Amino acid sequence: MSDALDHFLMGVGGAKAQLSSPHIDALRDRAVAAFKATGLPTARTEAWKFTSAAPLIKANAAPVVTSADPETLPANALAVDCPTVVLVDGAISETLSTLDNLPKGLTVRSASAGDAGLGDLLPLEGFPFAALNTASFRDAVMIEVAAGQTVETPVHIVSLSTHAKVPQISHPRICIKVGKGAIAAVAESHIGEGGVSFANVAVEVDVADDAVLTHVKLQDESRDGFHTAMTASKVGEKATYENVVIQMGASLARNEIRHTIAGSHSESRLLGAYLGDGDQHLDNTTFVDHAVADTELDEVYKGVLAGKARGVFQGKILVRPDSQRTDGNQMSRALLLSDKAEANLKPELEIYADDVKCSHGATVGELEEDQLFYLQARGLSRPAARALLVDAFVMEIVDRISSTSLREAMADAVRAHFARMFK
Amino acid sequence: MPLIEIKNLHARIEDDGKEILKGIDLTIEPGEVHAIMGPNGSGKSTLSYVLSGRDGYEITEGSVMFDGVDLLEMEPDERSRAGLFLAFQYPVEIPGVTNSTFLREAVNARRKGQGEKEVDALQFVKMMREKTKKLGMSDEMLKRAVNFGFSGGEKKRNEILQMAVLEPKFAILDETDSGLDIDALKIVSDGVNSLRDPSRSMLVITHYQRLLNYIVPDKVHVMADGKIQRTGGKELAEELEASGYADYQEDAA
Repeated sequence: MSDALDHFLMGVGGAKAQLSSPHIDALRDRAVAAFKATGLPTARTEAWKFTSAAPLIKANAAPVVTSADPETLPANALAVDCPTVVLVDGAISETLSTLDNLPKGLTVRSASAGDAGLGDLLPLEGFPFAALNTASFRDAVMIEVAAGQTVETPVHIVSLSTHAKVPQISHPRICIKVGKGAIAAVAESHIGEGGVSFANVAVEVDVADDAVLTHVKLQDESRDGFHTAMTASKVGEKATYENVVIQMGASLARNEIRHTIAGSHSESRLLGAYLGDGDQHLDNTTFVDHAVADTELDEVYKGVLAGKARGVFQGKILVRPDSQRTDGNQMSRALLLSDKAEANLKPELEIYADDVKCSHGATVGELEEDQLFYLQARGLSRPAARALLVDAFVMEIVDRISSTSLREAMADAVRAHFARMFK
Repeated sequence: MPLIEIKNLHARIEDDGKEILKGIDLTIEPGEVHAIMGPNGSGKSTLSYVLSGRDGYEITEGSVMFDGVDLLEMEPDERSRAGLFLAFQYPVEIPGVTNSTFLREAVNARRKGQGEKEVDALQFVKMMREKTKKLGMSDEMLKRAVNFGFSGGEKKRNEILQMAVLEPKFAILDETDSGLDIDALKIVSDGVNSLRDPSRSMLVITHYQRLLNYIVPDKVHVMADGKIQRTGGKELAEELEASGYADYQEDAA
């Protein structure tokens, strides 16, 4: 096991050579220690009960040290006309990024030009891949929205894993700070060129008091690739945080969100959909900490699983003793389109306050035969009827994206995916 | 040539093997409206499901020719595209799919099946405006999810709207009157009557004579115990209203 740990840490030296500051160096040292202390997930690790990390470890991926920018990007990133920062194997590409006309109040920079706040929210101890990212990231995208600014145009981060002739690992890193009273939208697209590339992502999101952030993520890595991601977010008083994750790529993916509700009268929405076929394994693990009173959470995750795909949703909600009048709702639903597809849904509520309204529900089912027949009786072929029902099931998530341009782009991405899946 | 010709049709429930249809013979000419009346459990709804191709029934004997082709060989969607329409007794709710998307998919599925060009969004809106206006309906229901949260009357009106849009050769109205108050019944019947056409046949299935005051049939069949027991003109419906189904049910027992 220590061999595997050492192998994973091979990139730390190279990363230090590319990005270093007293703050970042100290952060990396802490991360290396946390990674070693935590170790890699095993079959006995409760948080990884339904997802085996074995393929991630067996891949024996080598750290990306340098990579050339491709001339063009694969076409499957979200199609949004907005400022875009492109990460190639975790390093910011000057040539592919388009950041010339940033709207007023929006700053996008490399961590080499200022790293304040980086690492403040991301947990390290107990989270080996978040620690590994922190030890090994080659650069970080720092996005800041100035207090009081309304930035209507979204900012888009495209994270590309280049074609891997031999298995390779990179550590894209993003840090988003939305100032007091600001309004903004951020999108992430995670895509790959093919081969066994392992993107190990970490994202920090700080939504200050009275601010509103719409945060959308498309995970459409190449089908041999791996994707692990940790998003650590915090929402302040009277603020709104909307996180929407659509996972459809990679052979094995785990998107983990740790969200802290730190301000009263705030609203948090965690929405997601995972669309798996073939032998994909798509994991969504969320943890929401209601740390103060008078807050709202609306969490909905939906899965569509065909072929031999397996979907996992683990959603834990913690309501601390003083977090009275918490209004928390969680719903997870999975639709199995084949006999061999599988879903593991694990809702978990841990409530210590007595005056709360919390609900959760989890269902796994198939398409309803009477709905299929009704559509067939109106002339739709059975595949067309299935496609229409699945589309409706997933679009209930996509339709809730607050930003119009991101909603439309995500709908296009999902429909393009379905067109391949149902052809 | 008859539009629909059912001969000695026997069908049983796949799960338990119980025979429901025990030899149905029924011929409908183009433009005719026939009514099937009968007590609960007589097999009326089973007949509508078997004709529309629902899973769960096994045809053990007999044949159904529709416009010269073997209906029983076709999938439910092929039957629909060939011009058969079932107005459901219990229209199905489909949350997340708007009525408008649903109808456009249905129209285009049929057009594609007939080798015609699909309608674009603009043409479709125009088409729907005409149809809803003709039926005296509001086009507001197009924006709502299919039958989701609709009242009983709205659901049945939605069935008639679909029928108007799909312009079938043969429509089966399965207990279209169930759960309707008199006003809703009148609206639905007016809709059906406006769709009567020399080239369109209908089979109206009902328990009560009431509906046939509004949709006046050319022929009335009494069904009981999986068979057509008697056939007559519209006066047969009135006779049944007075005497009930007791005679036929005794027969069945």
